[in-house]
Amino acid sequence: MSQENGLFARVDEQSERVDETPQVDTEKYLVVSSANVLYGVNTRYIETILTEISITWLPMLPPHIRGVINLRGAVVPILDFRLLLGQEPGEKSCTIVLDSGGVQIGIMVDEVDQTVDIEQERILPVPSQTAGDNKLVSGMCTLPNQNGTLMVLDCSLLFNGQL
Amino acid sequence: MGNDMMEAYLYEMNTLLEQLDDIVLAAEEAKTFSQEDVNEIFRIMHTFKGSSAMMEFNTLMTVAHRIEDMFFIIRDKGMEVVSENLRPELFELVFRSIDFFRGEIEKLENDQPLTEDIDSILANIKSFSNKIQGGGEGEEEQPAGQAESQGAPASGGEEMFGSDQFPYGIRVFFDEGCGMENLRSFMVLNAVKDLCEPGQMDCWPADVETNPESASFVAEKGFFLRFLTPELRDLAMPIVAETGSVQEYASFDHAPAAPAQEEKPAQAEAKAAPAAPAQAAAQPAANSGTKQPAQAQQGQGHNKESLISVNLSKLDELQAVVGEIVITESMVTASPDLKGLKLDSFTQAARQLRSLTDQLQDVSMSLRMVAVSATFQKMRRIVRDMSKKLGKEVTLTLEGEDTEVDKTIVDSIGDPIMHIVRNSMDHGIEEHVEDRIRAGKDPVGNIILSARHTGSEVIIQVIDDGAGADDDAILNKAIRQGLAQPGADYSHKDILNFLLMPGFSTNTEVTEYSGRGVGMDVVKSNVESVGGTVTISSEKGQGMTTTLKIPLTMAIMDGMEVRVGNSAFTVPIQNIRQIFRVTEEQIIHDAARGEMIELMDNFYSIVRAKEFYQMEGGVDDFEDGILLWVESGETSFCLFVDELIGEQQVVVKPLPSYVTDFGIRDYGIAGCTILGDGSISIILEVSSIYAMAQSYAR
Repeated sequence: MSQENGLFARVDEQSERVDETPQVDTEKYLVVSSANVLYGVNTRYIETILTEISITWLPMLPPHIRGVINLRGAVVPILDFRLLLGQEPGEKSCTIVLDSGGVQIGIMVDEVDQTVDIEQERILPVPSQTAGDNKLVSGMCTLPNQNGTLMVLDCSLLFNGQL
Repeated sequence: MGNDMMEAYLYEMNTLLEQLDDIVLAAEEAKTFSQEDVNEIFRIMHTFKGSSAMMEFNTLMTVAHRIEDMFFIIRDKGMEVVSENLRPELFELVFRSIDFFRGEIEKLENDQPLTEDIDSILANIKSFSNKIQGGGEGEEEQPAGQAESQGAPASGGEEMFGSDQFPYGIRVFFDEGCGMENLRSFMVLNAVKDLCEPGQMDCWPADVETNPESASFVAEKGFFLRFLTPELRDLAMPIVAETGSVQEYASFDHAPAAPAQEEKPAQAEAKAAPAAPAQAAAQPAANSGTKQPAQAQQGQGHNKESLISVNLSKLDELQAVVGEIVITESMVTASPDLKGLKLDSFTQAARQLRSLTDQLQDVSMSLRMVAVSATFQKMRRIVRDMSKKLGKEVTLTLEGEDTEVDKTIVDSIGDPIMHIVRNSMDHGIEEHVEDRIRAGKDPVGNIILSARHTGSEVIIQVIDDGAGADDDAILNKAIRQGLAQPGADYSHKDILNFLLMPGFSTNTEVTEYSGRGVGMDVVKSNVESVGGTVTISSEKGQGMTTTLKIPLTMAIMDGMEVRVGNSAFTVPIQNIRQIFRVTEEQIIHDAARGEMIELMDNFYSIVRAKEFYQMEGGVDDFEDGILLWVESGETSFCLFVDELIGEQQVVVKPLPSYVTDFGIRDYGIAGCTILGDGSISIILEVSSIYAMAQSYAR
């Protein structure tokens, strides 16, 4: 859990810095990578980040639902993000647990990178011709340090099970 | 307005309506209201009115007020005032009103706005009130005066401590047994004092602040606030209402004529009685208030046990914590760190801990147990309404109403029972009395609703003595609906099972009560969602019996841990009939690659968990695994698994809806449990497994 604390401590420091600048509508996003693509997850949804999990497989479910885990007594379903997008499973993984109104799900991604502040107006719509593959992406934007492009995940869609 | 207050209000109102329903049902049977009934209804309506006024639900208050007025007339003049032929109308009117209140309360529960238009119900009440009043007019020359003299002794000689100087009073009663009535009185006094200039009011007893002895006086006789003018009193009323622990409050007027000295308790007479009969109906509201407390206390005296009402969510929380304790306890005592150590005192302490957690579990479970009587009583009303509507005379017999089940289960069986009872009324009991007489039955139909315990289950049965199930009609219908194959052979039992299938409804017409496209399949799925089973037995012409078998509680159960491949499953012990190893030679194969085994002169099919769940790991040879002979309701078969891990008490946790939305329940995955080592085991529901395996085979 120390990783988690470190991560969020940094978020707080950043937010203090942000407060000094004039009022801009920014939100914090956790940058995660899956199959060499960077995705942004709104930190509002993030409950915790787990590196080691033991998944209990459940029968008769689509392959992208890997099963359930015991998270401090709660039973949380785990989705594999690569499988969800129809890609091959990756070698290493890290699980972020999202919470929306008390409902929790875990998403397996390759790696967790950093937290960034993104001004809402800089998030641009996804070109419609690629929308098929990017059904979970609500927008995209260039990372502040010019280190690549971020796909902003629509977390509310993830909670809707029938993907 | 606090949520707690709203919750308490809704709870109170629902309880009152249930009481009222019971009284009226019983009264209708007796064809009259006894004096007690009338008093009780009067009391209920009064409380209803008061509470609704406090919550500012004016429509509810007004209707309750009118009913209260109506019953005031009846209470006053006796039941004789309502002539025999008017009585059915009265019962109907009260039932209507109950339905109105129920509807409104339901709206409140769902955060919907209340009905504004109450004119028609008020008009009904008014016209009835006029009728009974008109009927009694001849003998009522000085009604109000009589009412007073009769009323006073009936309510036990109410003493009103008024004062000449301040004739307009409020009498306040605090919650029974709340304690420190003197200080509470003082608080009320302080709250009200600010309204008035000094010298415009006083109180009795005057020394509540300093004299603790006054507490018992207040508890018994009430606390009296006295004002110079009625306007001041009107201002003070809402403040009194808002003060904590106030159970009842009512205004009274001190009659200045009474030869009382100042500060001396005076026998208060109620308001100078208006004599005209027309006013008699309007008067009780003001008047009844003063008599109310005594009656309320009488009423509570005999049915108020030392009960408290607790929010169900708290009990859920308790149950969850107890569940965690059970798990943690086995984590500690079965810790791998202890392996191979000889720890005498630890083992002894652990054993004691075990017995204590068992006790704790029993207690926490017993807290959630409620009698099914409330659910059963509701059926009386349904049977009554339907027998009126359908013109079928039917008596409902309730048996074993005291049987207790888990609160959540009671809530979820209400609808199924109602549905079955409606079905019996609508389709079961014969349309024409002649048919019953010809069949040699009592012309009056009979429906028995019974509940009883058998160890870990509750059995609820709805038995009617109606026409029973007509096999041919059902089969034809099933074929039309595409549920059955024409020409195939079906046993009587198979045919009855069609009744429980989705999309089956024997009545071609949709009636008001049943056959709204939903049928027994909804009953089945509701009951199964709490881990129960439904079976129907019926002989043509002999009526029908629907049996619900429901577990007492679903929260904690004994399970057998088994392993298949890398996965752990829990099979409820109560479903396991036998466990044994078999050899390949004992297995009988059929043409469709199905496997069976002969046990006790019967053949049972074998379901391989590995294949059923399309698992990669797991053994294939019968010699390497083990067979569980499982049973649930009508289902009996063998489940083949890799190995047994052991028996364990498990806490049932529901699976997140994220995964159950994929229909895994249909595959017998009923929930999961967290084992001592933190891993998750899947709880299997054997009847669903069998049903699914059968549909695979077809």
